[in-house]
Amino acid sequence: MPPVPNTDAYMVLGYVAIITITSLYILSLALRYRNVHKDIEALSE
Amino acid sequence: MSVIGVSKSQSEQELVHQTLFTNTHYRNVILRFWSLAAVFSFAISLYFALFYAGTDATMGNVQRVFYMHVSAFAGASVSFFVTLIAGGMYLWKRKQKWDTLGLAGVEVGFVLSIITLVTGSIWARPTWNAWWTWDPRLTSAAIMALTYAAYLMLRNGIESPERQRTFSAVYGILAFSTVIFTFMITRMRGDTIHPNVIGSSPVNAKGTFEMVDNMRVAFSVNMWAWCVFIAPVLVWWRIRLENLSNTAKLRRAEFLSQEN
Repeated sequence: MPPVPNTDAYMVLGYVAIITITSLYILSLALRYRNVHKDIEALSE
Repeated sequence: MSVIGVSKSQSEQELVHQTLFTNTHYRNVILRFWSLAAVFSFAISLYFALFYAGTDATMGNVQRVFYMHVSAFAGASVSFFVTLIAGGMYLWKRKQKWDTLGLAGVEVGFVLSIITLVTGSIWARPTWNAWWTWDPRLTSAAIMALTYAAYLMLRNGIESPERQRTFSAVYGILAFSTVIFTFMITRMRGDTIHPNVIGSSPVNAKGTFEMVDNMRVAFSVNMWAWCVFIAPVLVWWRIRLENLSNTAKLRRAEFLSQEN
């Protein structure tokens, strides 16, 4: 039986990509939320 | 929608009437619990993919990317399906809330499509010896992502709110054909090298594997996490952001009318 190929680096890269893309989207939502909140506060003053 | 304790004008009260998932205490609690459940389910799905499922003998550990690659595509499909339904509801009822739901579905679905494409490319490098190939499945998945990217760009180019919403609804309905096409292409074309998870793979498929019991469990946990928790929670938070943006637009318009 042939040995199992070592593809660990690609697995790590894959999971880093998943976590990075998801985190960036959540961060973008949080930043946009904060900016809109600031706008509303400024318009209310 | 109580934003920061300022009294609501009549037009703002009308906006609340048109708003999906207004911020009631009950809904806030559900959203917080659902968000926590999404984080928890992501951690659980990571554990199942990385430790519970066995190592594939022919591909090695890169095969573990498959669990989230397929689940992210399923989550994207759920989000785009939400846009399809929201588009139909908007054309029927003409309520702004359905347009908000459609937009949220497209944005979240697009992000999950990018995850699908990137992880697929990473998996393909050691398996197919290429980061990208113009295989029918890969091409259709790229067209799907670009179609929804165009939705976001074209929507912002229309000034009239009514036309913008009608265009988005029709586009969101038609764009779903790319999701169906992406799902079906490996079942219609024999020359694709992309394997199938559901049903038998095409004869030329490279990177197929037989799912044993623990792999099937890991796959189910990941599908559950992305389709039931992660994608819907992101859609809900995006709806909240859009509701808040609409309030800001309304207040800005009121402020400008007072100035004049």
